[in-house]
Amino acid sequence: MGIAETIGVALRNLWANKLRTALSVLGIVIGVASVITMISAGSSAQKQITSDISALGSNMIMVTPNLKPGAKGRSYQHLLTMSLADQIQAAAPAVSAVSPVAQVEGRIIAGGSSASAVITGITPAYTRIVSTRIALGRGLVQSEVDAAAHSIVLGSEVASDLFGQEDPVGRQVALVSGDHRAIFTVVGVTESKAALFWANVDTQAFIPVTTLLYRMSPIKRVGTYFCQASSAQAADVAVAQVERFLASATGTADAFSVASQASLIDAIKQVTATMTLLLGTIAGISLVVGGIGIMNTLLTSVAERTREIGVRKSLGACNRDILLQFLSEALVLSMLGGTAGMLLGWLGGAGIARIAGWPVSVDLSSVVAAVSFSTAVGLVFGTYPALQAARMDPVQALRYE
Amino acid sequence: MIKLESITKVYSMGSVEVRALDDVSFSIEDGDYVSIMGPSGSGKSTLMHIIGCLDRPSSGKYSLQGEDVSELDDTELAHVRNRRIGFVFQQFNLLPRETVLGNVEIPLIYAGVGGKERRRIATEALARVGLSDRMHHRPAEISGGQKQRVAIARALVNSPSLILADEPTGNLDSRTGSEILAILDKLNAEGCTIMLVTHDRSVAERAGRIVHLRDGSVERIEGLRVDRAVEGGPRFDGDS
Repeated sequence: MGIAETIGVALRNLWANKLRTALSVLGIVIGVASVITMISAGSSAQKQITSDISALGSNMIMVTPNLKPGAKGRSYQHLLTMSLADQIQAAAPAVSAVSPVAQVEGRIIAGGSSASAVITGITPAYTRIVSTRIALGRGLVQSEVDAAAHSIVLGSEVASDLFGQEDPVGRQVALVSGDHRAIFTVVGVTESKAALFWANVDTQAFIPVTTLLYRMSPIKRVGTYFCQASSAQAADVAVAQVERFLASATGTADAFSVASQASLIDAIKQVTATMTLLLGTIAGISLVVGGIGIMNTLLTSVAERTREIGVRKSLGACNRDILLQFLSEALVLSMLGGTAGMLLGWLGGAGIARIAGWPVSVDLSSVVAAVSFSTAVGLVFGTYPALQAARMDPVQALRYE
Repeated sequence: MIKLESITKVYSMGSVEVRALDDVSFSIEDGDYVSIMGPSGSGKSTLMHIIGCLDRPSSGKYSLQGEDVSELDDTELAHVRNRRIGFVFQQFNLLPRETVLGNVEIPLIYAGVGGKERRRIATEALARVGLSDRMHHRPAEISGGQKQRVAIARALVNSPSLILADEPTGNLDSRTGSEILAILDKLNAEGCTIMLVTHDRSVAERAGRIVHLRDGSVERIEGLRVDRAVEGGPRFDGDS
């Protein structure tokens, strides 16, 4: 029996039981669609996060003290000074700029309105390292750092909370943090920028790090050293140089963690890939459930058509003909479901990305994987019913009422 | 020529052995018309299944046109059924989803005959049973007598060595039944070998010979008229 006839018979039989066919196809549709939706949503999210991290700065390297005391219970808190920034710069030729950064929670008051903000103490290099743009006025300058001046650059959200549509440059604000209260002059406002983790620029306010450490903060310690590698290629070398310097300065390798932007992206990619795999696997389970639906449909079909199988065998169908007939029904079901699910999954993935504001990314490989997986599901779950049909004894099958 | 030599069929039902056929021997010459008669439980069905290659004997030799078919595997038996046997069932056994023409084409499909040729042969077979005008109907849209004629056309398409009719008139009224028997007579006159299984004496008498079965054995073979193949005549086993 030729392929065309086999598929023709399969289509006629499936068409004769439209509702049953539709329901078992639906199982596969849902399975394939959810696999593709999940995987494409995952890869869209990954694209968004990596582009966010790239926007965070250029060739950035973050040097953060480990919060726990180091080996032998020693604390390295005393090392977190302004001068460590200069030492890092001097010891690591591949590092082109270093900005010590410290942060406190604070409240900014201007006239009748006030806004809470993260007060970030920086040096002028910081704006360059984290690619922050100034929308109004200017950024902080070195002389303000040297003098521990009371100058402040507001994040866009902080500025609009305090001043609405008015130009805040040149205005006086009061900054309250803990017991400290001081008057600052607004010198600039940053451009709005997408938030990521710790770094929502819009809700921060920037002051010279010296002002924060010596005039505002009770801690008097730098929190993080933001470094910039001289180029993207030099990032790994810069990380190694900084690590070597810090290890020799502290006598241990685990006092600080040194992370480049690239390694951050890699780590995030790994996390999102794992999440995507997890979601895809969960969705894959629904595909297996869809396969069980196909098997159920076929088993019912085989039982109902026992007599037909007997008649076909008496007319000369061999076991292989019967096997292929039922297997082709399973394949038609799963491939129909695979194709419809692919379209639905593509729409789903694009829809989720749109709603979340991520770049649309429907992976061709996820489409290929889902469709070939659904075909495999059809084969696997179709084989048992098809074998059952093929092995039927023609005499018994003909007697079946 | 069909030759059965000491055909025995034993079913084991748990620990009990049931001898459905016990040492059955007879032969049918090409062009013969033979009826198999016997009460229910006499082994008629079992014998028909073995002659129709739907089942294998437990022992004995069954040769069809000189070929021993008692030892063939499933696929080879399917091939024999397809090319050499034409079945006509009491229940008609047409496939409801196929048209009349589609039903008649089925044996040709399994024989690997191409679409055009298939259509031509099937159309011709339907003309032989007088159903040219019902080709595109579904089985549900035609009468019982017409269904049986479709089944006969389906049995004919691969020019089988033997047409095996199992109670072909059992589900028909007597007038329609005699129409069907007339078609079988005509086919026999045209040279088809026919074996008819029935419990109805008046139906069995259409044949040249009646093989009477009782308790799985051939009780006697009754010659009614001289068969077309005279020299083939009844053959008896030593003790029957």
